[in-house]
Amino acid sequence: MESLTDDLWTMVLARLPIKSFTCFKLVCTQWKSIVESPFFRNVFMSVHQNSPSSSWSLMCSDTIPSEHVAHYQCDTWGLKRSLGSFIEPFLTDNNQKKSIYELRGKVKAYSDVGLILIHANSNAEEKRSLYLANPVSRECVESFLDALPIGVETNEGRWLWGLVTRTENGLLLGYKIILFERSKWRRERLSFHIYSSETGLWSLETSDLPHPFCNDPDS
Amino acid sequence: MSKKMIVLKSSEGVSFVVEEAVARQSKIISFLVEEFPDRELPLTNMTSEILRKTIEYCKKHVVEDDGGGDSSSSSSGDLKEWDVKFVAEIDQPRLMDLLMAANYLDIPSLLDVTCQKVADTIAACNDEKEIRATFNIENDFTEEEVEAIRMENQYPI
Repeated sequence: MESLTDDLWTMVLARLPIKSFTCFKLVCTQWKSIVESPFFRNVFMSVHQNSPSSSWSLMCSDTIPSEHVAHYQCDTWGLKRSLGSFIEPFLTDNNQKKSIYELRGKVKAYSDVGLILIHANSNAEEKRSLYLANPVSRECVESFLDALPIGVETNEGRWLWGLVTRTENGLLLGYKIILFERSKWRRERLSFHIYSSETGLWSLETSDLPHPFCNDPDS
Repeated sequence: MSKKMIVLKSSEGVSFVVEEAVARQSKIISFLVEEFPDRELPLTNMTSEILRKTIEYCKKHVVEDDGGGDSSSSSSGDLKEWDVKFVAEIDQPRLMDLLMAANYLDIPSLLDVTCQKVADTIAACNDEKEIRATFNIENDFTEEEVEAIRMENQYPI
């Protein structure tokens, strides 16, 4: 039996979930270089683009016990456990590794492609930072926010966070962070602060609802 | 109604007479038939066994487009089932040969089912050792390299 060429192994391996890639890298040097190549990444993305299983989602809650974090249709990632169980060790590791995380970061929001928004502040400089991270692949980028909307710093508990991401072939192209005030849940007109990574600015958007939105987790 | 036949020759020199419509599912053969009509086509890197399997697949998948009404092409559900059975009956080394044949002859649907079958076989393996054993792959890493890969890929599983 002859062995397959890189191209043919790529076509085969790209059909399998992300979770098994580490195992593939351990098979032999040929497989390792295949899995780490940009070509493989492209083929993987095109194989999975039409699959409804290409993303996982999370149920968000302000306090986020891992039970609230669910993943579904998980073929692509091939995870056997809830995504929440990946976030905890990821945060713990990062908190130990980097001084920037001297004070524990908190997960604020989730996006449907598996990214999380971490809000952290450092003891030393009283500096707050936001990070976008992928807890499974363990990648993390800092989000540069010049200023949060007035009131967020002082009254953190009043705000709810959201995260929307735009990705192509697994690369993060842009994202928006959404903030809105918890106390205004019950109104028929809602105001959101929206940060766009493309403009680097916050804007205020309002939206009229047909009915008051009453899904307040505190009530 | 007579159908145009072509002759394919395996690496052992065995000739296979095939309906042109069947053989034309291979884009390479389709091209060669136009370039060299009435010629025997030698497929020097395909054994008779693999060529026979490939022809069996193509016969099943040929689309009857002569408007004869009672076409022999099966419904897509039946065809899928047939494909699954077809690759399930082939042993591992021959499956790899068939995959390479599908790639060489450029038969996209056969390439798809063979790739999927190999992928399923890999998915059924528990670890890298089992994958190596199944596909007869040599471990060409040093201990240190293995450790390094494990360190940089700590999936918290």
